[in-house]
Amino acid sequence: MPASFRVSGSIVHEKFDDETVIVNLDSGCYYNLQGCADRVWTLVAAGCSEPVIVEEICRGYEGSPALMTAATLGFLNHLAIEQLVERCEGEGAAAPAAGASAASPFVVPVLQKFTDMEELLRLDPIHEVDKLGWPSKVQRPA
Amino acid sequence: MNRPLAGRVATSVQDNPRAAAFFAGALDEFAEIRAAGRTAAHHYAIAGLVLRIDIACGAMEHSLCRALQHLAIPSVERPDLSLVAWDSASTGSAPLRAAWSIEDYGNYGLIGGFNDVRYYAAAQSDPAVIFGMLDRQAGQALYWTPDAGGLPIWERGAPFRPLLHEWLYHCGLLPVHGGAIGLEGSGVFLAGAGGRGKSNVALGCLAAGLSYVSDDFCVLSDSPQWRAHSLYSTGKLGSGDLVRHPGLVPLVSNPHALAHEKALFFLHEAFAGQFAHHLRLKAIVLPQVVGEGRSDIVPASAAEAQRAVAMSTVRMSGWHGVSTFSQVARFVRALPCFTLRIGADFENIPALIGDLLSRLAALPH
Repeated sequence: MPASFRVSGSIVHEKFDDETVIVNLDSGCYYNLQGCADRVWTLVAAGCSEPVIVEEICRGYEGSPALMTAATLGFLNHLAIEQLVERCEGEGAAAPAAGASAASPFVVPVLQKFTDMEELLRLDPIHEVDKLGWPSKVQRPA
Repeated sequence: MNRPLAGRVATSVQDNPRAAAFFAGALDEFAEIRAAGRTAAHHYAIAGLVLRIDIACGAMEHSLCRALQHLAIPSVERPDLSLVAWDSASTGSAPLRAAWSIEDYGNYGLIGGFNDVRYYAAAQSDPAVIFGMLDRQAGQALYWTPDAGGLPIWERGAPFRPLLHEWLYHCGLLPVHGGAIGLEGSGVFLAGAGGRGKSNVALGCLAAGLSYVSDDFCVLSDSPQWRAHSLYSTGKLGSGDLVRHPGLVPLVSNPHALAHEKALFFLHEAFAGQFAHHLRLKAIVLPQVVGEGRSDIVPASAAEAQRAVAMSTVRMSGWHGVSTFSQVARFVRALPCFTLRIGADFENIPALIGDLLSRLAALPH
């Protein structure tokens, strides 16, 4: 059975025109997707299977099918490594319609990753409590 | 009353006897302090809602009520939220004892078993223990800290923030990290992470005569249009930034602590006429320090604005970060977005903001 994908539980994402902003609430990392990467994400978020995603990309862009297939599979793997998506079993959903514009040249999809907000979003678990049960700051060695 | 933002207001209430018992017990502790005549009551109007705070007199009241003073109103019989606040040091009361174990502390200091549709409870510890609990159904909240004298600058500048954030969110409003300034009832929302220039821009505009809602925390409502509502009357600047704001130097509330704290201002005390309880928002502006050349304002994408507004707001939003992210997306899609490139001519920024508002006012709705 072909693998399909679902967006991981700690991920929030919003699409703006042809750009998607993704945030991993656990790690504090955020990501930017444009162009082909944005289209792949749209298909992933819709719950499409790997073959459907590859087929849609090859149909929607101008380029070598072999290159587009390899680059798309590599990109999907990258999304999984970053824990933005999880592979799951199932037929997957049908591809949502793309925009009506003519096919544009394929550009290898890239996951832009930003870590400058990591400190801000990273959670700071409570490790110690005082005798009344209130959290106390962990004294780290100087 | 503001219309709730789509689909966010809880409608069902579950039984939680453990949380209910703890909440009632803590309220009883405060009732003893009140019965001894050692509390004061204040009422505030926030984004169309009424907050009543009963607070221990002395250090607590002095530390925490000053930032809300611009929103003070006469006594109201039925407030939307009644909050009681006390510390043990100044009242001589026994410290609250946690009714949970270390394993119950979760992300953002949320306490397992004490957070559900009805209750919110969280504690923080750095540098002082601050505990807050909200009963959404009853419209009651409590706030306790061991010693008001140990409250940090950010708590004095933005008192009760997590509690008020939860309550306002529950009431259908969107608390966000960002400032708002404007002219004649219309304004721009200033967004960006710390260090991007929000406070410098907001306080520079205040000094130049513009209306002021906040330099870094606002409450948004979306009906009938997006508005930024004031919550705190404070502003903060790094001590190195004071040179750009000579008129604010006499207003620094913590001049002896600037080596390790930001300068904190209680601005309504000097700029009461320029404080706006709310502004109709016309644009989102993302300050960016360039440091040379002329300052200017150029279009920005909604995605840039989403990153600027959402990232730090989500951190403040605790468990509802996911829905906050989508609510912020609605906000940034609704307004034009710009980058304010801050050059060497910092003094020209208020005029640039004024020009932007004039141009936007001339556009057809």
